[in-house]
Amino acid sequence: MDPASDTLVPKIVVKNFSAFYGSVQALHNVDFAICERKITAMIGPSGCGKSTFLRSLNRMNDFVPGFRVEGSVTLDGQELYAPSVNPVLIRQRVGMVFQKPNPFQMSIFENVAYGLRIQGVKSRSVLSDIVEKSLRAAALWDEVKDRLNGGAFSLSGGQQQRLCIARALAVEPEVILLDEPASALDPISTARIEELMQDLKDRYTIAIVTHNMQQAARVSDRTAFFLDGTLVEVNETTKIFTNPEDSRTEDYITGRFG
Amino acid sequence: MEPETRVSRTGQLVNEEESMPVSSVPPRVLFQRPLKENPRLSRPEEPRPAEKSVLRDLRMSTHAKIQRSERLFQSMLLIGGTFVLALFATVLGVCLVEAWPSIHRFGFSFLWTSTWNPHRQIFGAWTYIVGTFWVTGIALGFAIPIAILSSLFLSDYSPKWLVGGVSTLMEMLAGIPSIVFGAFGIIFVVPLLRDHIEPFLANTLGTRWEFFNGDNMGYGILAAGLVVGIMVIPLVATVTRDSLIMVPRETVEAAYALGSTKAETVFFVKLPAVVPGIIGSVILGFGRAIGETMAVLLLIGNQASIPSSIQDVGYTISSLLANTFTYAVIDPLYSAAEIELGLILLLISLVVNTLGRELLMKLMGGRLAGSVGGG
Amino acid sequence: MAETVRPEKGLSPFRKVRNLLLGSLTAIAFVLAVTPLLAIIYVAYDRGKSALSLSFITSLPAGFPVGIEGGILNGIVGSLILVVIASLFSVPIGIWAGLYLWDQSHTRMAKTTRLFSDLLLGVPSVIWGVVGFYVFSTNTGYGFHWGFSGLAAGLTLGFIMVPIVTRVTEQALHDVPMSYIEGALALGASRFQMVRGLAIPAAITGIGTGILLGVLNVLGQTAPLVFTNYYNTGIPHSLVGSNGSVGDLAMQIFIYIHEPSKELHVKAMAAALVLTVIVLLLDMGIRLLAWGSRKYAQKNG
Repeated sequence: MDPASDTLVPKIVVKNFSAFYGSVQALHNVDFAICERKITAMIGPSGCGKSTFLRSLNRMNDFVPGFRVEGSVTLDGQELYAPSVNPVLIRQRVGMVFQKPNPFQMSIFENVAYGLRIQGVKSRSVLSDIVEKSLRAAALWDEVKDRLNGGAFSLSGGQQQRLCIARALAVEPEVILLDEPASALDPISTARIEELMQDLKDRYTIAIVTHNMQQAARVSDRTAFFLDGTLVEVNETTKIFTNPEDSRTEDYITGRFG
Repeated sequence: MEPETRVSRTGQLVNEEESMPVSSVPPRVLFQRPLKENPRLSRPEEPRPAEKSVLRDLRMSTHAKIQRSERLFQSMLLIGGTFVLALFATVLGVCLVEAWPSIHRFGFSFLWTSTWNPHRQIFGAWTYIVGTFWVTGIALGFAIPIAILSSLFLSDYSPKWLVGGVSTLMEMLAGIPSIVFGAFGIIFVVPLLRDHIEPFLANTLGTRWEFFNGDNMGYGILAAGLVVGIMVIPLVATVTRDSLIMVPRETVEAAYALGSTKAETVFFVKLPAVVPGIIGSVILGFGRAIGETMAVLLLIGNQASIPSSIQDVGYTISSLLANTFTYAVIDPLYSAAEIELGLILLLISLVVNTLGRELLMKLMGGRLAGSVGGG
Repeated sequence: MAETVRPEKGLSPFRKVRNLLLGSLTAIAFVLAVTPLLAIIYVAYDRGKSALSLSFITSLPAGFPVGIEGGILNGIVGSLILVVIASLFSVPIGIWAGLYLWDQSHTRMAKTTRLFSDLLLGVPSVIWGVVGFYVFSTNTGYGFHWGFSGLAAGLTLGFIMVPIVTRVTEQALHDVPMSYIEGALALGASRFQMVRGLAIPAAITGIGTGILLGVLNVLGQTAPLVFTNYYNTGIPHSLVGSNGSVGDLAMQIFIYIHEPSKELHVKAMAAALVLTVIVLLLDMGIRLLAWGSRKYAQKNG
């Protein structure tokens, strides 16, 4: 790894952030920063709010009826939940990959090109250029270059997930949020996704929610531990997994609950 | 990933819960290290692809456009919704406005007055309300037991190969237009009643109870009720079957495990479990039967009298409207009275359909149940 | 627990008989439920077959009383005209309203709209007739003053179709997996782009099914036509005004069966068979479409 990378630049800063589903509070006063060109992992037992937190970072929760937030989330200093902010533009800068691969019912090419087309890119040459770059970046190019016009559902689950990553990369986001991206995949596909994340980390800020503690330990630079809607501890991944400060983190990591 | 590299990267971003990461450092300026060459990336010369790209420029130029189109989209959609509201307002408005002379003139007594005399300008709904409920009652009395029992047959007794086909067939036959049922009633049911069933009823039950006696004409509330009943059977059977399917297998197995016979399981365990579904299906069947027009018009005999026997002729609200409205329309009070009848029918239908639908929605988890009644 | 008192092995005669009786009762009910429905088709065929021929569906009614000779071309053409008008009116509005209900699903306004849309599903057809009469046909007061005409009847049938298309469109959109929609939104698609580019294409078979369902529902409607169109023995040149009435299969059956003429009854039954076959074919089409799209969805996860 690059020795010069020990500067941490906050990309997304979350201050005193609370989230509610109707009257149920899902997140309690979270203070947190996601740093540029680092992989930040969020771990915690089911229902601890880590997914809610992740989805709050590109306003995907806007569509959940009754969802509301308090506090502040800023992306490069810009308040995400300010009334003047169009969530569509946020999502163009903060991409997301979901738990289950969710390619569109289109060809492989069109899947990757979708995000560009909706932004008004029409030129075929620009499109195919970016599609190729994105597929290369997602380490999928060699596998699909001969069947770009084939249906996305003909791919295996792992390939579909990498296609979804390519699709997210094509929009050139600054941050990529991964919501348990490998939980529906076999170990080999999982390994490929993890490898891919390491490649991408040089250019993107990545946040990943995972159930799998080994995965968090393998891929991430920093790890945040959530419990019951609160952020218990966030630190260097090695610190969290070797010498956590909070006893609850230790209990979780050593498998005493969750 | 070697852990050593990680350890060496202890950042200056101290992250205790109380102290927030220092955001006073201007972003990006701090970033000084050269990007590592990544063989997979085809444009290493671009350090920050997101900063200098076709997309970035496009984004800025399309921002306002997106905002505008989004707002336009939302308000355009609202118009679509408004149209539905307007349609409902039209239906209720037309009925209320056109019925107003009658509502104003007769008040609530309209409901229980049984005189209907256009020449003397006296109008009352009672005859038609009674006729409507007679036909609906006969229809449901005939249809419900048959529908429920046959859905039990399909769910538990019939050979497996029969189930899919017959269920589909039932649903399809439910779609046959009611005018075809009416024509079938005239060609087949009326002669059957006239020549066989009604004489039989008169000679057996009719000798004791006047209620079953009559002139064996074939036409009348019995014919109308039976044909509407035939129309309602598939609806009730289909909805009942849908709720029977949802009885948990564990419940059924528990009953068998306790030594119940098949009939005991089906009738005393399964059937009670689907009572809400059956009620819902009966309510929907009621809603379908009460609004039925053309088949009834053809079969009921269209005579404004209150039936005293099952063989009597009668009139229902819907058949009266379909039969005489075009004559009534020249006389304001006459037409208003007819439309007030229609309004009564409308209100009953709305209440009944909403009730049945709500009930079934709760049971079936939001799926559209049943079909639109009428004809 | 040690040995407890067991009931005697085997069933009591009462339980045996009851088991048998209730079982056969369901079988009898089943026969009673299915027989009349099949009898309708058989009777229509049996009583109408002497009138059935190719010319029956390709020629206009003739003779006196009208219809005693000739066929039902006027009815077929008229029904088609009515269904086309009804669809042209209701499909855009229904899809539009369905989109609204889906998109703004949880707003109070949408909930109210959904309630009223569902209420419209329960309006009896005779009431639609009255409404259509005052809105389109009558020559006095408010409304369009189109007289008894194809346009008036077609739009009245369109009214009936609107809530059906609305409901099914909303349902079809709700059936589009959330992950699919989130996938598009996470790429920075606007709501509009997502609806146009993904949600509608994904729901299109469902919406198509809904339109066919609506057509199926209005195809056999007779009552609204009594108030807005009545009947025409020929094929009209205009769809508005005093000569604007169209023929209609359902109306034709009604008029023929209402006459005390054996010959017309034969024609009515033949027409009823034609109408039934059309409806059943349409129904089958809907089922095939739904089945096909389910298969397709299964194949694609």
